[in-house]
Amino acid sequence: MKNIGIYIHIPFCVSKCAYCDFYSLPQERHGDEIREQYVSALIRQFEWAKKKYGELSVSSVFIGGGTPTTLKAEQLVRLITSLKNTFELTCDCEFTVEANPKTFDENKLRTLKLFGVNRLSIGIQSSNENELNLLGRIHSFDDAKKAFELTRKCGFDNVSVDVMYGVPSQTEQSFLSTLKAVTELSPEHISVYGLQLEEGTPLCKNRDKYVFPDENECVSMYSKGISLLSKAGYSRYEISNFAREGKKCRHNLGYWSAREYLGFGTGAYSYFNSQRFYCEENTESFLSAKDFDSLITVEETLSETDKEKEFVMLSLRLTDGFSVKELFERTRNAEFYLDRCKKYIESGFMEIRDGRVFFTEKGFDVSNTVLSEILF
Amino acid sequence: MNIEKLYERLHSMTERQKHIRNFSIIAHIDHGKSTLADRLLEATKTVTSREMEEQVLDNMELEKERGITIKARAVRMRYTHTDGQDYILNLIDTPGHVDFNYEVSRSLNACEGALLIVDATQGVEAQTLANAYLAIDADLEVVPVVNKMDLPSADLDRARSEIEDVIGIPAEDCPAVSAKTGLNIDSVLSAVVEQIPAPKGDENAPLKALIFDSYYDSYLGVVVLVRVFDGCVKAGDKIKMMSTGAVFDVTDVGSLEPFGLSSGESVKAGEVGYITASIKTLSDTQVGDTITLVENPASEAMPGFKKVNPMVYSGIYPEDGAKYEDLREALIKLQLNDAALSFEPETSIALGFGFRCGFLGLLHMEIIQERLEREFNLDIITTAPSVIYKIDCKDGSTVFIDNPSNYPTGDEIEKAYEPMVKASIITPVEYVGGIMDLCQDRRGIFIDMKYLDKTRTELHYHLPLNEIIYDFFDALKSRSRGYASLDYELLGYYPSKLVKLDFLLNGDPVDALSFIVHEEKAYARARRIAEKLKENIPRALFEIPIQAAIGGKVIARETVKAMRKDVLAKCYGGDITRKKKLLEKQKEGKKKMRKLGTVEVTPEAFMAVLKLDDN
Repeated sequence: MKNIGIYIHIPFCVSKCAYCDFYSLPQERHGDEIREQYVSALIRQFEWAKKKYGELSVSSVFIGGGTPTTLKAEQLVRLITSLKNTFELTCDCEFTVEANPKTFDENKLRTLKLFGVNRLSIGIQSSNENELNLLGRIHSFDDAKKAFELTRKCGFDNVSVDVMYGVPSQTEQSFLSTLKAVTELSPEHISVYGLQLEEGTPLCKNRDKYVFPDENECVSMYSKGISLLSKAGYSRYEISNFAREGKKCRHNLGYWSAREYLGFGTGAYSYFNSQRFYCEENTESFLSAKDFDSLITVEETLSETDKEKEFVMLSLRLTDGFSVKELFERTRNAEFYLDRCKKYIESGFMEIRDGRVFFTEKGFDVSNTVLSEILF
Repeated sequence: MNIEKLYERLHSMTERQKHIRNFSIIAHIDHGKSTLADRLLEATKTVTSREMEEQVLDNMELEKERGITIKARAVRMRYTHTDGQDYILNLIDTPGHVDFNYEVSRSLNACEGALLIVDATQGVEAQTLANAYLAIDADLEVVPVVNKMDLPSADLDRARSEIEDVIGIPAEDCPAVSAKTGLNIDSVLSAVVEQIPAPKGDENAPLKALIFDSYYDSYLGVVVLVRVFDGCVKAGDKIKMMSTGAVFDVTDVGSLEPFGLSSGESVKAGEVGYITASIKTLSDTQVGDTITLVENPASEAMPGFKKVNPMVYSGIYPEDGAKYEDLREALIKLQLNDAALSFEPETSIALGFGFRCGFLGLLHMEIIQERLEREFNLDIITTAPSVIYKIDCKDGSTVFIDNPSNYPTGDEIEKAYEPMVKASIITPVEYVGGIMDLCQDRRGIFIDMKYLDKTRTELHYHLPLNEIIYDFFDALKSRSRGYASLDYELLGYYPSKLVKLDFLLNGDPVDALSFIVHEEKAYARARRIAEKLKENIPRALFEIPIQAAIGGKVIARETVKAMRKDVLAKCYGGDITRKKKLLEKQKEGKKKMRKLGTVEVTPEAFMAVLKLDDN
């Protein structure tokens, strides 16, 4: 039986953050009825997928969004139960749900825990109220802290938090205090994302009104952040991800190791049988869909060369990169890629050690430039 | 014209020739030459107004955009005069920019007369004068026409008196028209018939046909546009190019109509027409050459078209080295339509294989560049334009240098010379100060200043050519709100203190960026260019020092800082394909760049270096 990861997209938010370009509907555009119908449609999509792809074993599930915790506890239960009835979740399956601090209570968390959710990912972003405000977050840092403590109270022992850098008005000092405040909560996993100005978002439209930390400040604050996290026991295992020993995110590691995954819900991506495809970002047609084939668009059918390039591109996102042995096993052009890496190893952007090729910290900062040279 | 001359003309003229007029229209740029040509075509019903494009004669896309006529084209019109007789009027269009004086002279040599258009609101300008002198030198009958009479600011009396005072030809009764509205267009046609002499020439004498233009047609081969002075040419004739000796069989002859060629029996003495002869070897048809028949050839060629010499040289390289052959083909084709363009292969360490091309001026260079890009779809890199320097070497030899890379080192040079031009600038008086400052700044030597009338003056300067080939014309326009006009001609070589300025990127000299500059200007120029380079060199993973040097001595320095961070986007399930494409695109973008040693430079960097406007 094929082993895959499953992603489920819940496109509902209380309100849209100023930087977000994910597909989501703000609260005024979704009533309880729509959420109810959406869960039903997801359940129909599970059935459709099972018919189409056959029996599948699932070792990671990630419910993301939007804000999955905008669903009511009963709706989440219906969704999770149906998922488990349709696919075979392995006994050690990593089951993550994303949560926004202001959208869950003790009841919801206990329910999730009861039905097998064993990991939570909480968007905290900053401990600085002004920054939270500029980002359009609906919670204060105090809300986030309380929410985090609640997860512990409800028995979650694997919690991840998201933090951002490169935020308007942010300074090295404010960023480092955010990290310090976050490590004091002692989560198992921390994602530190650089803010990206996505076309069409309010933050992007108003970018001239804000002062962003410049390139040098970003490099410096991130570098100091990495050592702060390291001292606190979090080691970097991917460009933006840090974890305590044994707490790397299995689901996301799947994306970086060419594992197959199926995505459910509006806008969700899948990678299956060498195809990367996605479901239409249209809630109305999704809710009424009987045949999900018509909502699917194939973005890319991967050739062997594509797969090779993705292997190199994605494995180099990880701090331990790829092993030379695996490169020879998985690609026909191993020597070509190694030859391209040589120059960057010599100039200190990459390193080769114990049979593995990987980016150095300095190399990660410019990894797009280096990767574009290595791959194409 | 004196009586004897007239008598002689009438005598040698056939009935047919009496009903032909060959003429050009000459003007300063924007005085309405092309619009007047349109009206003449309409008034003679050569084209109906339905057929009339905005400007029929300017049929190149580029010309339309720039609003200037680059290439001469000829067209035949039929006109019934008030005397009841039918006339054939051959109009030969001419370009109006200072770079194209040669093309003007080439067209004028095929004519007996010229209409000199003067804008009633602007009066006589620099190129009005220059073109009028060219026509007078070519022994043409010059008929002034005052245009733009529809404008409220038109001043007919002033325009007429300027024509008489400044140019020295009578203008009292000259036509006053509006080409835009069609006002008094008939008076122009009457003037053509009555004032411009009919052609003469013996149609039984050996053939003498002067090539005044030619172009390449992919079906017909080379189409040669000729003015027949003596004899007659028809299909089946064996013709010979008198300068090269090349022989061809004529496949077709005929006349030039506004929308193409019209096949005919023959082209006879006094007429303008075309010849095709399956000519494939492009270098065999040189504009200015005389065509004769192999049997019964003319004893001597037509006396001289002015020989054209490029004044400005620059290197043109394909962005993609594999396109070298395509570039060569394109230059060959362009050269056929543009006798003033010259080129020969050269190599650059930085840019690889390319061509050193000679142009009449900077506008000419820009036009060639644009045509290569648009019509031939080539991506090219152009190096800094250079003039030809003359160097007396210590070993007693004299060399001419058109490529800064070949400039001798300081200790080999006995004496260096640079070309100077005699420039005439006509400007409203209020801008004289600014223009004098500009000329001063460009190392100009003031000669004199004349008032044309109360409001306008003509300034004469001697200027080094290398100071005006970059951006002088733009600077002149910006300092005079577009009113000043410029004309120049080569004066000769004058001793000068010149140095070769080299640029080093990351320690490696880039030959394609070197240029020659006057000693006094070297420091300022070096600093400016180093700054420009800094703006145009994308940051790399390492720091890039930019140095400007004379000999081994660094005189200016800038640094392109290393890139420290690119966008570290998250990359989850939905991002992978997009991310991969983004990286591929980033690499594609880099492929456009030129690798100079260890440094990658955008093609735009080379052009940016050329734009040195002081303002």
